[in-house]
Amino acid sequence: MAIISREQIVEGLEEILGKEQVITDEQVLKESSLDRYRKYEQVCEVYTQPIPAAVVYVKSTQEVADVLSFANENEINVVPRTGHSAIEGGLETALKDSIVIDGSTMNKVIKVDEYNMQVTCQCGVPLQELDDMLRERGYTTGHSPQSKPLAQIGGLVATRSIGQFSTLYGGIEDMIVGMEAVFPNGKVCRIKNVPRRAAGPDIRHIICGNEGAICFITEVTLKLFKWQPQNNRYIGYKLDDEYMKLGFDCLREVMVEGYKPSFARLYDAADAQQHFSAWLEEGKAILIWMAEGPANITPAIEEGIKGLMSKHPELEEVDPALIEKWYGGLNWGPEQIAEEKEEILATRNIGITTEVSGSWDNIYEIYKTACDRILEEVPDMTLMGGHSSHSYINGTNMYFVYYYNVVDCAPEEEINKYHDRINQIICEQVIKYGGSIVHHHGLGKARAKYVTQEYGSSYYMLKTLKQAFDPNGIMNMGTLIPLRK
Amino acid sequence: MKILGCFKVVPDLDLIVEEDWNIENHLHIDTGYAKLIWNCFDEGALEMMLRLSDLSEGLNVVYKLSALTIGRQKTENFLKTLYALGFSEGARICVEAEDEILFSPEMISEGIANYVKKIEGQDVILTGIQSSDGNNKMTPYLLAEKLGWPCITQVIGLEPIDEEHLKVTSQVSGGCIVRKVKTPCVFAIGNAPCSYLRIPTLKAKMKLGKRPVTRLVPEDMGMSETAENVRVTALNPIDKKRNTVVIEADSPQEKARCLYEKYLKERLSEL
Amino acid sequence: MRYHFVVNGYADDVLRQMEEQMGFAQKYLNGMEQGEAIIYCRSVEDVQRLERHHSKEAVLISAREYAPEAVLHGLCDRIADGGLYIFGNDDAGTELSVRMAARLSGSSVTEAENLWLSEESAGDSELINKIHVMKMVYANHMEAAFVMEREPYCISLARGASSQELRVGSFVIKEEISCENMAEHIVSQEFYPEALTGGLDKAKVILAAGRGVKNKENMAVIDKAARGLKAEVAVSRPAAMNAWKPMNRLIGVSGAMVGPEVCITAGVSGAAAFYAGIEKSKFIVAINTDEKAPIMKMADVAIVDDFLPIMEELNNICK
Repeated sequence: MAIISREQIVEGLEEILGKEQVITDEQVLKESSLDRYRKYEQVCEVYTQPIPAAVVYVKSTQEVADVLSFANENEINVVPRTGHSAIEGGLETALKDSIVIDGSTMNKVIKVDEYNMQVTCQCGVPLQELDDMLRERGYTTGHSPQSKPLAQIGGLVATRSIGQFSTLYGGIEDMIVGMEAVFPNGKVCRIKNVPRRAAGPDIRHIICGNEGAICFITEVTLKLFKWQPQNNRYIGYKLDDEYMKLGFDCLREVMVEGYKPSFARLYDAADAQQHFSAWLEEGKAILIWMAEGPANITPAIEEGIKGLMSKHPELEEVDPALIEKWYGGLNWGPEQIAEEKEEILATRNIGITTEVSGSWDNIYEIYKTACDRILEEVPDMTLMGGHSSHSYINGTNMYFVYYYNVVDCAPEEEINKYHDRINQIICEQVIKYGGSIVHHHGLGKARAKYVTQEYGSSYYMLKTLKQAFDPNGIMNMGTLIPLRK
Repeated sequence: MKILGCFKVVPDLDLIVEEDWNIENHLHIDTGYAKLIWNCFDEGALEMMLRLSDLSEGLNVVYKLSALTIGRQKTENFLKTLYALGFSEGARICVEAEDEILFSPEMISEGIANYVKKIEGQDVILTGIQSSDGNNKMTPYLLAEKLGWPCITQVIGLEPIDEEHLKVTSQVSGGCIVRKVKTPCVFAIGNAPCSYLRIPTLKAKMKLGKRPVTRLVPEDMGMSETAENVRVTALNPIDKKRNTVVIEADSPQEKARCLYEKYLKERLSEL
Repeated sequence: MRYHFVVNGYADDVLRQMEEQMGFAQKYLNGMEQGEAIIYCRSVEDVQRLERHHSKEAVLISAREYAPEAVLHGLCDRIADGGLYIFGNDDAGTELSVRMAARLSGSSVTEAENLWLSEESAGDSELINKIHVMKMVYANHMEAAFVMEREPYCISLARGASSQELRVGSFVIKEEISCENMAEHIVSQEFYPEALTGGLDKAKVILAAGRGVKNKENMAVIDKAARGLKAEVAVSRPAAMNAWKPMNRLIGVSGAMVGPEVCITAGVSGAAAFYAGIEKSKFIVAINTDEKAPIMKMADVAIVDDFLPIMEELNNICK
């Protein structure tokens, strides 16, 4: 923890950045002490985490380097942040007198290179703005996570995020080309932009997914893809909820046969009602695919998937227009967050998600046993369900969706009584059956406590990385590697 | 005291894709794919009923809560949610076609009035001031007329008094009025401070939500012979895009003057 | 056909309601004969005190306390013939227009935007010589035209219609119908006035500052211009997170969602989270140095320039 006082930290930062970029307003500091993991505390405006000493807005890589050096010398915990949409506690300031370094002011698109099909931007470029701009030119990053209206490039890379069209474009790890990052001692490292390299280990992955616990990402180059939505095809089937196992098998068949839809989804009945209640009967699960790409490919994918599915009498085809319109109206964004806040305050009912992954041979068990245990062991549940939304040749993910009423419980107690408990059950079931406890939201601080079980013997590598790059322990402490209590 | 909450289940209009608003020569919009939600004012009304019931604990008043909706089969899930929350009766007048109940306040209020006259007598009826799709703003008033009951509009709060009276808060320009009201009465619910309906647990749904919904047919509720006095003849899209005018001038001062003279002066003077 | 204004004499903003009725008549009821106004009110004195009118003659329906049942009693007793009845744009106007039509077997449309009579030559013979009204439906996504089938035609007006100046002078009061004690369901009642707050929710003019304002000192310039424009000052999230204004001035989805008559943004980029908060503004002005900022396409009027000299000049003009 810091070897200088809170006042000295602020003075030091003001010397580096000037007063205007150093914020010490109490409300700002409070809101910067947590993220959406403590959603209930957030909406109730109850703050249980140590309040940071300052939030600083940085404007250049040099400023990042200067602030990090200062923090490193004085052993001050630093939390890197861009869009503030994290949901696993990665942005909680777990130690006293932390500095939150906000990169959202580094928001320039540096170069759109249409010939080499790549775009370079600073860490604070909002994904929505970037992709909207690219689409106007006929391109896309192919990255479309639900956090798109809020998230910015730095945070997306830091958390190894994934988008709705990952089955075609991959996760952010498949999209990154080169990067620039600053390490705690102020060292600036640039990884050049080349199509591939075999010059040793792929060091981009020290940066990608570091969750601010190793370095601060200042610049990223991403691949570009052609944007041709006019060719999109939609395919949907409904099936009884009891056939969820078959649903996973259908996802598998499509992958194994070698089709590349852009999204592939399976919703269980409980989760499906949240999206398709207008026309989907209660008790029905739903399978959806979308094919994206050149005009001669998408009909072939559509035909191929339909051919495979026609062999399952348990499936009933759904009018693709219904899927297309649902997709067209999907608009999770700031309005929804604002509305959600009011709704939570009024009803004391809160909805949360946890995403994990598993192989084809264990994903159903993970899904089923976690749901059953939660319903059995956690009180006041109002909805328990989930969907698979990212498939691979060898497995898929599971996105648990759960709602509960917060009953007879102070805001600061909620996390223990409900959220952590549900999280724990999910993580236990995943570890038991051999999946990964984190599919795309990051370990954050919420799931860091399971890190040794997640990594097993390879935890040695993660720990060594952390020790090597952050010997003073100033980078987002408590994230990735839990704090010793 | 018997209280009936009348609600409409509506499509979430935020999920309607842009091109569906840009139709011509239709008298309704295709909203069939959008998620169904409680009409917001009705949701407030139903929550208000539950809160009233909560408040009656320890008092010598018993509230029997019922709910009635007019709509398609899918709306029964909403009635089952109300069962799980403690409503004792749930009924649906079965109308499957969305557009039949869109601009039909005469028919809707006739159905509700006949439900109260023929099926289940009531002391109080709550209903939202308007629905988000039809926006007719007529149903509670027509209902009051058909029953010959008084009506209080823009109600935002109800509190128990005794078996025949309620304390009713309603919003009016410049403040609110709190009245002691004798039943029967129709309350049109406005912007209640508690507009979200509580959510039943899965356990409560399992225990209470399985009861069947009473189904009624429009013919028996006198709805088929009810004619509307107003008929929709056209539906036009509204262009929401703002055609931005960029003010060009040599200096910022000139731009400011142009902004003021051309665009602000008149607008500000009207206020 | 004759038209009548029905006026809510209880309302604090009765003059504004009358102005809008006048505005509506001038725009859409040209050539139609005007009949006496009907004013529901506390007393004759209240009406005389108005010193403005939009009809020569008026019939009063009076009761110490407003109750729709009492007014309806007076209204329906008095009205024998058909005709068109134009109610004001408040809740009372809406309720009374619907219930009056119901009692007299007429037809009603609430929150009408405009009105027209179908021409003799209209193709559809059913529509000849009928009253048509346009109103907003589908939560303001669409506009619907309705034909009204039966007299009397009762409509209430939509909010925000254009207004027309009233004539100076008082109504000639033809008759006063007293309707005391006709609301038997109301045992007692009490009015609680709302504390007046200068909140963002009800502001008519808002001046919103964003990150482009750069620092707290520049906010002072915004404050000054806001005083000149009689605007409430608001900020976007980046500005609030920089503590240039307290959080209760925050506009956008984590703050206030507003719908003023005029919203001027200075140095705001127009992030979706912010824009959702001002989307309902009637008129949006964007001032930003970056012509490519998203806000520049979402505004009615845009100025590509630094906000400082613009604000200073606006302040000078308003002086």
